[in-house]
Amino acid sequence: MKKKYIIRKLLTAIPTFLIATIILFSLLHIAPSGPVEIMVRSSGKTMDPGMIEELRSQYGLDKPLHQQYFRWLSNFFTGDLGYSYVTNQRLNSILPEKILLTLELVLVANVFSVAFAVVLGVIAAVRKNSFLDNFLSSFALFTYSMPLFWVGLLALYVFSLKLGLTPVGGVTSLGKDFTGFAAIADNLYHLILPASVLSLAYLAYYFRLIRSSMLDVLNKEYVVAARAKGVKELAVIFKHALRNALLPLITLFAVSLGFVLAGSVVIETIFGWPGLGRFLVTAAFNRDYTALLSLNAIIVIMVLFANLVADIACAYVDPRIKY
Amino acid sequence: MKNNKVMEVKNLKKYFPQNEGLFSWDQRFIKAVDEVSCYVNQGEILGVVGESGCGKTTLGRTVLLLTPPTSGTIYFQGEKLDPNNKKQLKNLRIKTSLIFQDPYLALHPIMTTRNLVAEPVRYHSIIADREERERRVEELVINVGLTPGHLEKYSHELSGGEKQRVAIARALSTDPIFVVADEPVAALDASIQAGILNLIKEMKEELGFSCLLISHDLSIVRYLCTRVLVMYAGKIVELAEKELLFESPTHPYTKALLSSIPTPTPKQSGERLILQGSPPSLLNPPSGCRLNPRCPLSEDLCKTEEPELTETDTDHLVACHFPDRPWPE
Ligand SMILES: Nc1ncnc2c1ncn2[C@@H]1O[C@H](COP(=O)(O)OP(=O)(O)O)[C@@H](O)[C@H]1O
Ligand SMILES: [Mg+2]
Repeated sequence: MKKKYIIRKLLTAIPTFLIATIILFSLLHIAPSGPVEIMVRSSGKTMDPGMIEELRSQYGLDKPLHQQYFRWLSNFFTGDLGYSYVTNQRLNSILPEKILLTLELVLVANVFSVAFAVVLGVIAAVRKNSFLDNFLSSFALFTYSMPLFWVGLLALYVFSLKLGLTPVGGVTSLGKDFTGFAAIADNLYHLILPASVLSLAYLAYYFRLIRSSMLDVLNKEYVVAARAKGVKELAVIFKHALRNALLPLITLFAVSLGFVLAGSVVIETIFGWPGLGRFLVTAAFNRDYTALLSLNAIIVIMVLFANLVADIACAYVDPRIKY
Repeated sequence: MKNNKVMEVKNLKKYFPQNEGLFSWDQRFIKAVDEVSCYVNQGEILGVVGESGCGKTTLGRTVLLLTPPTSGTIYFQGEKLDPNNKKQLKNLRIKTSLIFQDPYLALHPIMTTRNLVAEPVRYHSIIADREERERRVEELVINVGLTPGHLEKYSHELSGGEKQRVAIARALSTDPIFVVADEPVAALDASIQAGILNLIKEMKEELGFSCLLISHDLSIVRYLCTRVLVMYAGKIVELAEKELLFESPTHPYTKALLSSIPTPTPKQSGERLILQGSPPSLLNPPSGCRLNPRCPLSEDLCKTEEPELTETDTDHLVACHFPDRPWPE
């Protein structure tokens, strides 16, 4: 029964994927000027129209649009992500590392923010309207309303430039060849500031969610029922209430993955973290069609996959969900 | 005699602060339970009747200290309860239970019947041995009219009646000596109400607990209770033995309430006595007798002075200035 459920969910993901990539593809071609024009313009030289045509046919850009799309699609599914016009590299050789770097940043930031948000959200809900609750809620609203790039720049200025506690950017220290444990430590040292800034942004978001969902659950009759049978307050909070309050978080986690990756674009740009986000921005400025398409398709797959995992997780945790 | 009282409250008050004004001097209170004194004897079922919103649920929950009283004292088995005494509270939680109006809301959605019924037993280490505990859970589930097949079911997989049976099994799992049943069948289909009421009656006879049965349905109270307490706007208006109350109701509110019960034989049924208007707001109830704006017997005294709950007959308490006056034609 569960297998069927998973297969059904997988099947519904296929049209979503196709529609998303067709929209992406169309948007790219609607946007003014293409990769060749931008290459020519940025080189500063003039090029005769014949040369431009030749380049276009070399990249396959003169073919009808649907042919271009299907060629990309079939390549994508045979594991060939295509060729980046701008960096002149095969995407298969450059993307995996960027994906890993972004996942590292995003996962670390999320783990931190969820852990803190659960603890603080539960405390705020249990001590509703107390000084602590008001303080946490205002603080969450405050960080929530600050633009991410501004917080990033501020953190960079204070912790890296003024205090010198953290590196200014990058993934590893240049010119030092660490190996083994030292290399990991060096990487974490570079990760800490961008991950903290990013997690601060999610923290407010998750905190508000957990607080309101806890408040909702704590008023339920079954919580009163547990108290009436003498279950200790801590067990009531963690066993009876939190378990239910966390259900919306699982779904939210998956749905907001796109939003989370968008946040990482800003952070990666500010902190010189050579992940997906930064590459995406460069590719967009240069109309790097294939790179944009393949990269976004990968992001679409990640979001779809996260949703699938969330659906399955919810179905395991919550018996009310029918398969 | 005092040892006979399982539960007793004296001058119990429960006011809910109403956060209407921005400033504390604007603070107003919903007087949900106001100066209530009553007791429940060993083995009896005391019925609490009254219109919706008169404070019945609040009374039931305050008596069990699920919400701290604003003032007043509560005695359980002759011992005065202190809301800060952890040991006493633990004992209270084991020896008392609450059956909720809506079993759908009262059962945790992601716990199976087995876990729901076993939790209090396990939690208070009443039965330490695992296997013995399992046996006890199965026995409880069978006693309330379910089958072992229900043990692995979640509450959303049960019907309304089955849910309430699970809730009852859970409530009785710690062998309570006092149970508050808050409109235990009000949320259920009429066709299954009788089954649940009979179950409560049977379990009470078998296990010998005492009960505070809250209901707005007088026929239920008449069927199950030994004594009846009538509430109006947060106060007791009449308290008497069941027969006494049903045969010679004294308070005008009780009279009106009783006249609204449909009787099986038309000859028996008297004229329907109707009170004008609707129950007052508990934020600022009328001065004097709370019924005075609606009462056909009302006089100036009723507007200024609050009637005390006094004994008009043996075991018959009434809060009315003119208990002997007949209803005007
Ligand atoms: N937790 C609460 N906070 C504020 N007001 C409450 C609360 N519980 C009950 N009340 C109010 O107290 C009054 C009595 O409610 P309740 O005891 O539920 O009545 P009943 O059970 O007789 O219908 C109502 O006016 C209700 O709005
Ligand atoms: Mg009620």
